[in-house]
Amino acid sequence: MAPDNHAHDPGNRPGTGSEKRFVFPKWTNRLREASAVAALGGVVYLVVLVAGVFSPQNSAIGYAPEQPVPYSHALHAGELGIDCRYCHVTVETSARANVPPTATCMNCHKTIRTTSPKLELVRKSAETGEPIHWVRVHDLPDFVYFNHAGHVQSGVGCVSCHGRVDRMEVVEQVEPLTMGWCLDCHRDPDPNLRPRDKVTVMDWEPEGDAAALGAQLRTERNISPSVDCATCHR
Amino acid sequence: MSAYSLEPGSGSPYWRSLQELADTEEYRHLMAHEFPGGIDAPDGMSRRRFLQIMSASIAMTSLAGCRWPVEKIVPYAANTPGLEPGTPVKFATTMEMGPAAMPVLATSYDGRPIKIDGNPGHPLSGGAASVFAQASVLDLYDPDRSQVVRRRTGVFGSESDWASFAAWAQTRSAAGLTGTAILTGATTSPATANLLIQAAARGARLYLHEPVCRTNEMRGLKLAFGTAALVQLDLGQADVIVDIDANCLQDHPAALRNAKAFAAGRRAESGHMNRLYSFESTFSITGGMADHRYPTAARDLGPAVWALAAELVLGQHLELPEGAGVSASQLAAWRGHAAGGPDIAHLAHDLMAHRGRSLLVAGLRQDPEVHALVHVLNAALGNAGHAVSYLPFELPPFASLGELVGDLNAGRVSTLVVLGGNPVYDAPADLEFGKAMARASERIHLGLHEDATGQASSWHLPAAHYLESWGLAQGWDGSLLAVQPLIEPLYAGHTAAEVLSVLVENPPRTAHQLARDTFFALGGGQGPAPAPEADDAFEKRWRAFLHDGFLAGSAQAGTPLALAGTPIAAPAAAGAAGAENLELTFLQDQSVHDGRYADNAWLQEMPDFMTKLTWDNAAVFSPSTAKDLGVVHGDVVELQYKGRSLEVAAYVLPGQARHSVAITLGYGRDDAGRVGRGAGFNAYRLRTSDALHHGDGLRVRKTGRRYDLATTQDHHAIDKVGAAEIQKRVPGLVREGTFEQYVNEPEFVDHLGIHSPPLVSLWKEWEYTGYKWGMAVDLNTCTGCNACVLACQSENNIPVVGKDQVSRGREMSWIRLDRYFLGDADDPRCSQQPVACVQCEMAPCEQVCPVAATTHTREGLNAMVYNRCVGTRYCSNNCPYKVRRFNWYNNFEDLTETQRLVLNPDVTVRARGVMEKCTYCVQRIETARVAARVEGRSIRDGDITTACAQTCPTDAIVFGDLNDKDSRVSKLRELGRSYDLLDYLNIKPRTFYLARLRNPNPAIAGVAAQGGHGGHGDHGGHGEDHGATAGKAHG
Repeated sequence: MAPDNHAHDPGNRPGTGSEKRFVFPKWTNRLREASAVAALGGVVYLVVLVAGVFSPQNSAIGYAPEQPVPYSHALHAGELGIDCRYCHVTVETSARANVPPTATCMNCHKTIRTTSPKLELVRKSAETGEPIHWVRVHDLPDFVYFNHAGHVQSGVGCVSCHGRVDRMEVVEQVEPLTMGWCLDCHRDPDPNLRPRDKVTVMDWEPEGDAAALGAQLRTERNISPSVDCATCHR
Repeated sequence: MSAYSLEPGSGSPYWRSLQELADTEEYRHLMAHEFPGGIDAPDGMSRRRFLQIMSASIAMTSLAGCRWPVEKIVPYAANTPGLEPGTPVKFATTMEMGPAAMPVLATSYDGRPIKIDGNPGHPLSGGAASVFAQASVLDLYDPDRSQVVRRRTGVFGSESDWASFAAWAQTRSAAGLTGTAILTGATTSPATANLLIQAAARGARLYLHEPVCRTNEMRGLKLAFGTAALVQLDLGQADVIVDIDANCLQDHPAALRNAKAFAAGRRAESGHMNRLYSFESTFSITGGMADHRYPTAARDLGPAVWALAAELVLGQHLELPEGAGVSASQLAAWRGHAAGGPDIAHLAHDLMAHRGRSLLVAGLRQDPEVHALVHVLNAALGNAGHAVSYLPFELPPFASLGELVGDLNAGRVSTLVVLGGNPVYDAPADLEFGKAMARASERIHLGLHEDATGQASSWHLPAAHYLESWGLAQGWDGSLLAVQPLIEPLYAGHTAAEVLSVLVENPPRTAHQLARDTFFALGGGQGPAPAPEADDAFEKRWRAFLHDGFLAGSAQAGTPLALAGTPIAAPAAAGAAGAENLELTFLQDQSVHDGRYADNAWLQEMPDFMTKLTWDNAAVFSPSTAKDLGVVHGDVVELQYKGRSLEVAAYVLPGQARHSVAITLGYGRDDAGRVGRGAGFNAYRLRTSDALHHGDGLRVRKTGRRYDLATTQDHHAIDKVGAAEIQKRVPGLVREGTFEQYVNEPEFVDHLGIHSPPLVSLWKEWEYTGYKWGMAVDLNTCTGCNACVLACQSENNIPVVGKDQVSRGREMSWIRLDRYFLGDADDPRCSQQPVACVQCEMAPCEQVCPVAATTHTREGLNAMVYNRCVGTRYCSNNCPYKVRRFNWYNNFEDLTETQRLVLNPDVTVRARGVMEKCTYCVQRIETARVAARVEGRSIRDGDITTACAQTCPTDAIVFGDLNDKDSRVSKLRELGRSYDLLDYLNIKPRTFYLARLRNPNPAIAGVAAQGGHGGHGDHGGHGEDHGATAGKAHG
């Protein structure tokens, strides 16, 4: 590889005599700049990559798909003040909160706004028995097993994971629902604990120190969230 | 040689297979290759090309965006109170299998049955379920089930439907059913029985065919008592049990109840143990549990019973009761008959000493006379009314299959109705049923599959699976059981009762109406059952019946019966047995039964408890007979028997009776679906109606060809040095002793392990302060019945990999049932040991995982995080128990939509390249944790049962919290006979074993205990440093 430089510039190499020495060709000087550029590029690439991975867009924050029926939580849960559990009946006892059957909608809507075009699909479903296909907003990977009952019974408010649903016209995801985010709370649940009867209250604020109340509730109820892999992965 | 003596000079009496014992060429090959089948070369694509494509596709994917597919939530439209989507619900129902009706609990997840367990409320189950019941849920989703009604006229077949059939049948039967033959399998349904009687009244003839039939037993009962009866065994009331080829712990219609009662009598801590003697030609699980087992050819079993009777009457002066049908002078000729074996006098003495608390039971393959003599002996010994009692019943007016063939050939049958079963395949060969069947002009077949009989029919009707059916059944104890559907019939199937109803009733009733009406009538009602709103009291009874799965209080108590006094003929003298006059026995298979489960992949891949064969049957030879014939394991041999011949692979099984060759029924079905087709060899081609169970005159010819049998026995073996070392260590792995030894020295097992210096941990050990899950496995009651293996498969979505993969050592079953033989190859004892992940506290697998995919939980579970696993397999390499299983392929990729319905949604389905293993059913732990949280309490003992423990018929597996001193598992931990597997490695397994105890007759036993062979003697020097035994005190 190395060319014989002696012929090219013998005078510049003092004390070389007849022995052959390896000298880098001049063009290699340019490699220095090139590697500096590459290093800089690498940093930029890393930043973009990390930012991309952790950006709200890629953690699905703000995901708010259009639903087949323009159901407004802001109206029902917010303005009318219907409790979460009126529709999501199994949330306290079952792994799933469950979306209610059409019959639940019709409890009221057989007398209220019976001709609203927005409710066309609901009426049709109640009539024909064909279910409504809602789009799942909070979608965990299939290898994750989340249990609503365990969290609700421990006093984690709905709002902690789902945000102010009572202000949402269209439900959107407000938390990243990533493993790191889950673990943050499992390692320090105190800020997210509230009295058992306040779980579904959207605008509940602790009186006084939230952390102190959380710590007290945690001790009272013997809450020690697990950070074992098998808690969610099995 | 006494059953308890050993071959002199052998270092260790234990061995795992004959190959290992003999160190054959094949075994050495197995040793030399880590992956016996070789490593699959990638097909068609080089590694380099693969990487190119992969990198390109990754680049493409990252461009394509990050959001995963949109998922839909589809709630019900109507509101059903009590229905919670996503919450499993259990329903009681009943699975019928021939004369055995098994009460089960079926778990339904969002409307699809996913798991079958035993019905804990009914004594025939006690919460346990057989392998057949557990695997039956897979049959429901079998894509090869017949899906349409098929009408064949001439050679052409066309799709039809139920309504067309019903209209056709109603017209045809309007004028009566003369010339109609109805062939049915054994059924216990009162509704079906009523309809059959109505059909007979309208001129139809009734025939019964069950390939594995209890006809001999019923004939024996008629001979002894003059009436047929359901024989009720109560093994709990027997201190001495003599099992004569009955395999009463598995092959009996009340096997689960028997096993439970037997196990209860084995719990040494009660200060008492029963004693089991077994006479049989081929190892059964009952033989495996026996304290004294006598390998006896089937032809010698009758004489053996006569020899025993002679010894009892003449040697022990047992008084024969009135009406015995046999006299002392008649028995005299049989005293000391060679068939009885050397210990017959001791056995007779033992029975005499336990009069009123002993039991003799003969199996379905025994002649009626043997059954009758056994009943006489039970009566004479005062056992009737205690360990054995009877529920007499009238045998329904069924003719036999042979008579049907006669009627068909004589042209007396114009319409043949086959209700279930597959007689074209499984009828005795000499009847040539297929040919005879063609003589009927109309042939109606109802079946789950369009099998050989379905293809020969003019009307084939898809049957409803029992999980799709309404019906009634009768348990072996006489109780009335409910069959209720968990799902609409997937393929518009119908039940046998509905087909009969179409034939004899106008208008026909549905299965639901039939069940309700019959239930109403059985309760004394007249006419059809009232509508749900019409009769509140009836509706409540009906609902309670469905809820419980049985009618409370309907079980009947057995009574002793008076002997009829009909003379019992002695067995005829058999010709001299030898290589030219071998005996062939036909056994029911533990995987496919009589062939009806050939399409069940779980059962096909379940290793036979003794041969460890998967996906095949084989002709079973004893080592000495094989040696005489020059046959070795895996040879293809030709069986020449009664003018017929069959080529079949040979399997050399220790403990098989000399000069007796066994073959199981149900394989070699070329009419099966894609799972069962081509698996094994069809023994029905040799079976004749004059010798359904065994016959002499078999000759064996070697073909010189070889056949690959996929057994799981020698998997995970190492080299010869390793094998020798294994042999040396086995006594420390499957520790056993005698009852006497245990009573004298409760801690004797501690001396059986490998002694080690005091064990010191390299790490600071974690302190388990909360729950500390652990499991006890009692080797003293584990029969090796495979129920846990199937339960685990069903609960944990364990894939089936097929014969080729099994022979490469890649079976996926999380529970491995290790079977060891002990002693003489022709008359060994056997030990069973289920091994799954033992959840080591200091788990070696965790220390080598480069990606922390297997980690420890605070409660001591060795958790496996599938989504993190990258498939290095280091963990499996470092696992001393070899209980980790690797997904070499995407085993669920090719499943159809229907097949996926069986999967348990609470357990991740593992993809290719992922390691998996027993999790202690962590999904059940987490469910129980939340349930306890909802109720505001901590988890109680018994809240969590692992799938294996739940279904174990003998309660050999117990799961619980070791930190709770009052839990059942903690109490077992305290027993002297508890020990850890490989305790000297200091890895602190959470699963511990309880040593097996044998209870030999002191008069027979030559060597009292096998205990001391584990190298105990070599280590006298450091007897105080019982480091290994520290395992028991840890935590």
